[in-house]
Amino acid sequence: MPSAAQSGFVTVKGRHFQLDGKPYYFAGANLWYGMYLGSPGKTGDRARLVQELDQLAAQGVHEPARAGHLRDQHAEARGDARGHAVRPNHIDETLWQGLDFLLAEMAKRDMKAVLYLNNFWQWSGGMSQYVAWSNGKPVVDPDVTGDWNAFMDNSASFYREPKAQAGIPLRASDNSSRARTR
Amino acid sequence: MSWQLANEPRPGSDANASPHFDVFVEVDRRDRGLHQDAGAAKQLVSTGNEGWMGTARQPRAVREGRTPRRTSTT
Repeated sequence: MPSAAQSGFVTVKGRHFQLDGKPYYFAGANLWYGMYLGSPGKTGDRARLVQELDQLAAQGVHEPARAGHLRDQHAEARGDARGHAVRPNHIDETLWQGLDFLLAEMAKRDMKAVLYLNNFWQWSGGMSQYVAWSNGKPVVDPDVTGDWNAFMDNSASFYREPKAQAGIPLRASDNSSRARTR
Repeated sequence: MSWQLANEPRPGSDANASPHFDVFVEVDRRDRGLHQDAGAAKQLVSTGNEGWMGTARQPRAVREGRTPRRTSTT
């Protein structure tokens, strides 16, 4: 195989993933809290994060392509509950450092990440929080009201609200060029 | 490996997804072109859509960029 083909980046061919010219399969796990644990701030517990990554690696989250797949959420905690993203277009610096730590530790274990940048659902903030910030109304929280249809309708209004969309602090194009902090 | 633009985006409520369905389809079509974004050229990009549940059970309508006639999932 030509060395130029060994990019280390997963690509798509037809309906399949490929990595460096070979079919790519993965076993994945949801690690939505990885960024929080990696933070040097109040949510951080790097010893626990390292331990959990070791456990995942030991339990086959590398096979069969010798690469795992973890899913991390972006740093948008519910603004009123956890106090990380407490205003639009802003993430606590310690959480950026948490993401850097997480990705560096995953790289040591030959794991790959899927980073998601927003959330339709309420548990991490996301669309419903951005809508609330843009219109000045309280967050529509189905965990409080029990009305999931009203929540979903409110969350979906995000797609047509440029002011709400402007509150997103993390974009793929921004973050891929971000310098490591550790 | 990839960027996922949102976790499980839905076009609207289970009772009636109609109010925002047209703009959801529009955004979905636009965002599916973002893999050509120079800023993330080496990573894959997905919209995070769940397919059946992410399209008011009408994935073909979203894929083809048209608003389905019925958008209630209940």
